[in-house]
Amino acid sequence: MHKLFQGKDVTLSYMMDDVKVEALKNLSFEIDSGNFTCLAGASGSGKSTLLNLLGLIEPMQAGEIKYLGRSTAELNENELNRIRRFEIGFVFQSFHLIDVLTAEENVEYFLVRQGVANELRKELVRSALEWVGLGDHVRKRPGQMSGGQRQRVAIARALAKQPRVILADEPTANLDSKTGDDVLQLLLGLCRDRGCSVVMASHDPQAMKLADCLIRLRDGQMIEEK
Amino acid sequence: MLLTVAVRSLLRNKRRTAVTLATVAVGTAALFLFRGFNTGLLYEYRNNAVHAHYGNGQINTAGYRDKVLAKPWEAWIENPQSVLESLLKIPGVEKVFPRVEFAALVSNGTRSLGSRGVGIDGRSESDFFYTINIVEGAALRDSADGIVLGRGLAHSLDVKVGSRVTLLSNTIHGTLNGADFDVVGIFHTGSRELDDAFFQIQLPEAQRLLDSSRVEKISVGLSHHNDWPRVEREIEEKISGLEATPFEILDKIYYQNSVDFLNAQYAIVRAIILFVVILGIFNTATSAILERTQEIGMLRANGESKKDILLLIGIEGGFAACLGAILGILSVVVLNSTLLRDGFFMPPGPGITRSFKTFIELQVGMALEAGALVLVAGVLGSLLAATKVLRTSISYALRQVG
Repeated sequence: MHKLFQGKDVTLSYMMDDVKVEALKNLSFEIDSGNFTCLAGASGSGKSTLLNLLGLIEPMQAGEIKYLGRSTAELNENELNRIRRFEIGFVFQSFHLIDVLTAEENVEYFLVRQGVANELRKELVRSALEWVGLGDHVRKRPGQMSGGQRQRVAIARALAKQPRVILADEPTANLDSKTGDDVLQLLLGLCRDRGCSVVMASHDPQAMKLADCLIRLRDGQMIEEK
Repeated sequence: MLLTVAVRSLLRNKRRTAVTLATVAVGTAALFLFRGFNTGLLYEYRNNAVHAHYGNGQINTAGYRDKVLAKPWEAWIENPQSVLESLLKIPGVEKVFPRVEFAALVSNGTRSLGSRGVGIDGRSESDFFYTINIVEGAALRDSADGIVLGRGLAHSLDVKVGSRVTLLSNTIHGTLNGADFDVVGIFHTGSRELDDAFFQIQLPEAQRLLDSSRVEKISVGLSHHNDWPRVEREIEEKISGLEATPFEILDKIYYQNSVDFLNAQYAIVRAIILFVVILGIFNTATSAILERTQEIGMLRANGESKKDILLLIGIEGGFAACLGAILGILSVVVLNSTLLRDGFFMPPGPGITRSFKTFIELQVGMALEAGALVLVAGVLGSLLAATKVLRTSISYALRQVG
């Protein structure tokens, strides 16, 4: 099993109301490919910040993160965009769907941008939406769906891209426990059944229990790695 | 897909979209209307210049207008009748008006003034040159020994319609010649230079005074002004030794300067309107884009580059600008065919002493120009608004509350 991410002395801080907040402090870690990895910790522990660094959407400040053995600091803007477009799928806490597009179109959007041919694209969209159980809701817009359904569309969107890794930032936080469990099972299924690496930031005990690998953070520092 | 997002994004906030469309529509309408108004004015100015004095253009012997000659009559047009016949055979040439211009003394018996006379075909000119400002009496028409004086000249001589004046002039051989004329009319061109010194008499009388059968120039009246470049080309090809000059050059002081003035004025107004449109679009687009900061963050997190986002926002801005421009153009067309259909009166313009009626002259090219300019302004306003969001990091954009 090769290393998907390797972090060494990762440190990141930001200013909040003139106060310097140290979000991550000298964090070193390894995440294997094909695993379901859970970044756990209370709010403000730095798990979302770490997830953003792994997703190449937050610039590095100090230390090093390697993606598939290559330092992310070496990647130029075009390479970062290419990796984000083809190799990483995101699932956000607030879903972040495009309001004016239907479920089907939301899933299809990035496939169009990837340049996937029309027939294959339609097939990928259909199978992704069916896999998340929304085969009958393809024409609904986000405003016409429940929170759980929206998160399923977000998962289908990430899945349809056929990424190497899906990064999920507290995907169950805005959902009731039953819907949250369903979403968790979907993400777990992505990893187990489809061989997609999943890194999920969560403080859900169930997610921590099911994860292949657990990285527990407190105040930007790792307190446990399993 | 980008187009789908762009089109549907217009429906996200209908009130804001309405404001955007209104801004663009008003900008387009203002540009289109102002351009049409200027063109209408220039049509009137051109009409006045062509039908007051110059015709659509003028024929001289080649090089005559560029030289100062000791004996200018030697370079006048010989055998004018055959030239006139040749000119009338050229398609588009409707009328031809032979003329001579000469220096003379005008005397009322007690006072003599140096002046410049023009010998004209009074009858044919009176029909074509209908916008000359006759302020007293009438045009020359058939009056064989009639004279029409400039208002300043008539005033200096203290003569009125019905008075008799004597003209003294040198023949081309250098001997003195003279004749008496009845004042039949007084004209006013608006140009002091002309009004204080010019008079018109019949061409045969002028030729008798000068003892020459030649004519200095031939003014040409066309059925359609836009035919001039072709007619000019044909004249110079078919009749050797002549050159044709369009009225814009003959009347540079009034007409061409008016064209230049109005064009400069339009350029300034256009810049102001486009600036206002850019500001208006920037303002509404900024609100719209700020509300979509999270969405833009999500798009970028999924690999959309800054250029991709600018393209998306540009398409949205362009689409809104297109719709607004079409609305603006249609509203001007409707306005011009209803409320402005009968035109409106304007105070006297350059070279004109009376109020005149003008119309908004709309042309397809103007609509396209106005639409294209506002489209560019709309896209620019949107892109400027987008740059603010694109300066923030992706993770910061994703954290913003929608």
